[in-house]
Amino acid sequence: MGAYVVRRLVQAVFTIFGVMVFTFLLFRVIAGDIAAAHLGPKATLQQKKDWAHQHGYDKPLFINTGLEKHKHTVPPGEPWEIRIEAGAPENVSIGGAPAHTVAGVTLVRTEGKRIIYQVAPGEYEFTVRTGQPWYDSQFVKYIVTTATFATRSIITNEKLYSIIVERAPYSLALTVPIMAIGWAAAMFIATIVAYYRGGLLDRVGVFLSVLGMCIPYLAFIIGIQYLMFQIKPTMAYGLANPFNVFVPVGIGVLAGLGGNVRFYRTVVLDETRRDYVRTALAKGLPLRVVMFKHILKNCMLPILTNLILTVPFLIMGSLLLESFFGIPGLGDLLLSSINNRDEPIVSGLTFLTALLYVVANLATDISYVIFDPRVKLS
Amino acid sequence: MTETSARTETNHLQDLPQGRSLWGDAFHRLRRDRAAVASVIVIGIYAVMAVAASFLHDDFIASKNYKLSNQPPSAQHWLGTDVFGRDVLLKTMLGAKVSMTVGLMANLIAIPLGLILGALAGYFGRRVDDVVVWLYTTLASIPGIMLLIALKYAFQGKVLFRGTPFALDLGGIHGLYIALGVVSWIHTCRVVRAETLKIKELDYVTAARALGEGHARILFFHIIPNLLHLAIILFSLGFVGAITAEVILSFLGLGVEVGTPSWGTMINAARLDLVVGRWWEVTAACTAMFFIVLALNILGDRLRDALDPKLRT
Amino acid sequence: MTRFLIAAIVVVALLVFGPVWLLSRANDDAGRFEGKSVLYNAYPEKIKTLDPTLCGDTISAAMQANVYEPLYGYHYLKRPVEVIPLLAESMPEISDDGLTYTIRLRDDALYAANPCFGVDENGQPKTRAVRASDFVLSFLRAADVHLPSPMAWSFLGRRIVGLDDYHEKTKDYHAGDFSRYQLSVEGVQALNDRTLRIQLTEPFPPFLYILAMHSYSPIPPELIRYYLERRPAHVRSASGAYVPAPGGGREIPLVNRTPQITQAYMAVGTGPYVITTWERGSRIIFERNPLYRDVRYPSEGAPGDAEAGLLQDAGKRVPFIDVLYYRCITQDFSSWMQFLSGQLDVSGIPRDVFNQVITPDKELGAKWEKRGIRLVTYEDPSVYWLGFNMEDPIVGRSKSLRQAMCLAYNVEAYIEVLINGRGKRAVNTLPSSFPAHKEAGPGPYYRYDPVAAKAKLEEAKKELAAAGLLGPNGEIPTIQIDLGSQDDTARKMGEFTKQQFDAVGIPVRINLNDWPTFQQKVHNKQVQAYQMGWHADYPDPENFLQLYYGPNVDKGTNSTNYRNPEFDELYRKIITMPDSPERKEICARMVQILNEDVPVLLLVEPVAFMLPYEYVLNYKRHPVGYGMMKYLRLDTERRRELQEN
Repeated sequence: MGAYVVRRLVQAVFTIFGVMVFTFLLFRVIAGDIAAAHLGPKATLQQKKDWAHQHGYDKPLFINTGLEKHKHTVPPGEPWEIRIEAGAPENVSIGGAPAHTVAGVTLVRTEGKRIIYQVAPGEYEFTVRTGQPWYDSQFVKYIVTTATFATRSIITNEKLYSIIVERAPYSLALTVPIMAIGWAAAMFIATIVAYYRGGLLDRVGVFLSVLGMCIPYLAFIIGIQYLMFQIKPTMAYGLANPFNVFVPVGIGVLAGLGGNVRFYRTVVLDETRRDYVRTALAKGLPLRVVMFKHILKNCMLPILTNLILTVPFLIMGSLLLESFFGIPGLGDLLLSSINNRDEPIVSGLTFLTALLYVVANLATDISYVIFDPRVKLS
Repeated sequence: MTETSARTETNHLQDLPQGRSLWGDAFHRLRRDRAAVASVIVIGIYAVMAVAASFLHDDFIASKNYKLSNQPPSAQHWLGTDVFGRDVLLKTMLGAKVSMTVGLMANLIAIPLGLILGALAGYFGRRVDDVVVWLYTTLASIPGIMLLIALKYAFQGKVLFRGTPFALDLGGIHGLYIALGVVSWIHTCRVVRAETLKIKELDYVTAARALGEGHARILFFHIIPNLLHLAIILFSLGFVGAITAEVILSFLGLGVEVGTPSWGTMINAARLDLVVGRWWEVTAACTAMFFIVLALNILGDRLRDALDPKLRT
Repeated sequence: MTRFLIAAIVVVALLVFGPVWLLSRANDDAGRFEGKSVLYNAYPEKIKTLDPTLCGDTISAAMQANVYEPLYGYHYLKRPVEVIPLLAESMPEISDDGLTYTIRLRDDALYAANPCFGVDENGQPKTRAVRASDFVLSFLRAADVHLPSPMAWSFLGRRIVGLDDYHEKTKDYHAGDFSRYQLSVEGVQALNDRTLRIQLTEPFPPFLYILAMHSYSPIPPELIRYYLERRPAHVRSASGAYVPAPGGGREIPLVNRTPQITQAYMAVGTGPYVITTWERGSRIIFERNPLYRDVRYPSEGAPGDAEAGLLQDAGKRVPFIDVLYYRCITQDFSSWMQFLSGQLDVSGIPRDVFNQVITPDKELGAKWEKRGIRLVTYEDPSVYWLGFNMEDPIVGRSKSLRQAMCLAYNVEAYIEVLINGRGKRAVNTLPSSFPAHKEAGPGPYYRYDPVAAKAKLEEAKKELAAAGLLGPNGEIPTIQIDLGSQDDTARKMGEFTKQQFDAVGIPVRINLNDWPTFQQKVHNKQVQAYQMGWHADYPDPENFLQLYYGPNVDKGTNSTNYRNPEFDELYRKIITMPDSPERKEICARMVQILNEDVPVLLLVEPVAFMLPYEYVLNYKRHPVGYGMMKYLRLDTERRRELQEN
């Protein structure tokens, strides 16, 4: 058992590392003009370069070779003044030789960290020895700040930790009741429908569930919010009164009911087909007794483990509900952070979710081993 | 004397009941099941609409008429018109093409991928299993929305194998198939892996191993055939997932190319329409989606019943 | 089994009611504003920043303008818009060569009370009068490389003597090292406490408008020392008084400092309101600044203002409203419903309900008037267009193709179908309210003429054939048109655009991008045609013409990459000329050059429709100025009447 846990822990670490690599790559890929996203359309190119430099987005992606290359092309005509940030002239070279020894390049002066050259027309590639260590790269910085939860939002400069503490309660106030009520309601309905299997109730149940699955989430939200505005407008938006939260909770439960009932019904029915149930029924026990004493109990394990696997995503809240009801939760934050390219928040939240998910997986695997006698460790 | 007894012997043989394979038996059951037959017919109708759409597309695009924008249902337009004055009934039928192809293509990618990886993981165990489990746990840990958005951005504007007949327009519909396929193979893989672990221990498989049969043979001839029934069920349910995903992707702005009618864009476009009383476009798209999803669900259920060995007595 | 059921019920109940209990502990404002006049409003996107230097979007600008004031502002009522002194005592003294601006400050402008100025013996925060050196600090911050200001720096770059050198020098300082604000810059000097002198590198008459931007509001150095260098030395006690904070006043380590103003309590301005609550992405509440100086409602206005009742409060002291309560509502469906149920006092009109609310004559439907809603329309000095990438081998090289595309686009249908008629066709690149717009006249290609378009297309095909750019069957290669958003509005616009060009036989493909990707594509010149708009920063044609100035390509503001030496020559002339008929002539000529070269496919000038309830008095939108909330007044009696029904 101990060996099993250790093995799973090792796998968990690999998974988390995998998630971080994935999100890093994905985000860098989608980043687009991240400086423009933060500076707005009226920023100049130079401002954007400076911003990228400030936030370390011009550092090498994975490994820092300690060398920076700058290409400059001077058009025919007057020589140009080119400024290179290098610390000292020894650090600047062109094609292996110190820059100022190359034909057409003269060292004019140094200003602080900047070396100023006068360059005749032509094409040059300056190589600057930055003296930066190999680990001074975007990926390393990303891993370190994310793993220590030290990330700060680019936009507001708040710590991720305080943002989560401030917003998570709102998301949870929405998703936890939805999960709890959804589970209870779906369980109740699924049991009844499975009990009357094949009858009219079953068919109607399936029909309604599929109907529920097909009505778009948006339609639920808009329809019910519209109704609320007619009946009791103050409850239709916002959390001025904390009980207002039950309106979006209700919507969430209703919208998810269809899918949940289908799934639970399938689990219960699969269990009903097992040999021990046929034996018990053959022995003359009424279905009701068999259901309550045996079937439901055995269904709980797959149902609850399925539920636990959704727990890590609870903290993200429901995007649409938060947006329509003005609930300042984390789901809305994630989407807007992706759109605004607030990269530290996106990676921080994804990392948190992945961490929770891996922990939840571990918990369910171990609970399977403890509670299900059929499962053997290999 | 001997002649007559020989003839009666042969007659007896012919009177023995014929055995049936799993597939033949399932087919026979389904043919009798009215709900299943109805579902297949519905799916067939949608498939025909999808094919017909390619021919009707140009007419639809040309039928724009700004003066007829947003008309309610009438005799000429049974389901009203959209913002550009085009017939909503035709638009809904054309939308079937997008949904059917998305469902088909995304699952054609996801199911085989999940099947192969799950079978390999379950069969070989250890390192292979570790890698596959690591892969799908990692992907599952990233919130699905972020993964879809990220993939779609990564694909924006890129075209693989440009100029060849196999050009993959990643920024357009092909990227959508791949993105959905990549996100949905995980469920299949999990289920297949669990099933493979059970099949691996069956008698005839262990016998084949003892006989020294190669891994490839065992996989192809013993394991995978026993997984096919699972694959079919997962395919029909996965179809549903792909169709609904298209709707969500439209909401996020990542759906089909501009100008292509699809249920997702119709639903997404209609947010305030319901309040204003413009119900026809949303209802048409939702109803169309409802029937195909219902048909697929029922078919999937019946297939599971038909292919489940325990139900056959 | 029963034990399980009981346990399950208990757990479910806990999970359901627990979070609600958690939420109820968060504060609510029941009774908080008893007896005060409160204006309820909504904003559609999060406020990006409360730091004036970093302001770059309209929402942040609108919010900040309630708290900060710059040297100059705009007259609330007069049209065309007129600059008036705000924190300055009078209009600036400009030297004859147009290079030196000498500005005297008022002596009665006080900052809002804030502990950064000190706390008296009763725990009340102190204040002081604005000094000229505070403006110097604000200019230095605009030039600071560690403050990535989207707008503030772009207007000052290369314009102020010595400021560009300062900008370079700030690169040598660590972001948290604020000693750089002690450096002296020749072009921005405080001659004494009340006199500011600015020296330009070359004459720039629109500079007065720049001084009217909130980005250049004064910043007291006490703010930097108190909030950015150290932990705040005081904390607010339950009674509202400030007491010394435990561990307060300590220096923040250099690496943890930020030069940005990030919190509401750091927003120290001279404006009519102060921020008392800010929950990001949720709401922001402004309350009256008791130390606001004596400012009066204007006694003159534009023609028609007196009849509209906009002068009835003439000469009275502002602000009238005690509390501005803004909620962040991202879905316009939700904000519309809130407006209808009386929980918001002003609203725009979402596109989909437009035809329900506004009659075809563009007036308010009778049933809405009965509910006490009024309609206010105003022209937004903005223009929207499809820009062409002039460096693209196909659209950039072939003028006939661009002209054909302009003639093929039915802008009138666009306005009717997609924006409910809320706008008019843009006939040249300047907004119609701008000087030189009329003089320049409408561009010959900015009209709908599919026949002429097809003729131009034939010419274009010849041009392209000569350059060997046609497809194998003699057709024009597919043109990519990029849009900067992916929502349904963009999709519809894209579909409409495709229909226009399909009708004349130009193959196009619409690409929907999200904003950052779109920006990257445009600046990397990877687009052929792209959607764009420009909202006037100040009421001078130069603000629009600079978008086509050659050297601005490298600067980044000329995104069409249009280069025309004749145009550039004229631009250099008008940029230093004070306003005169001759200048208008030259501007008109420049616009005519653009009308012929068509670097952009002009679309619309929007007209905005706002719906205030009738109890919101003195409501008039200003085209370029912010900070006008102080002039609004609420008829609380009428509001109570309306809400009772």
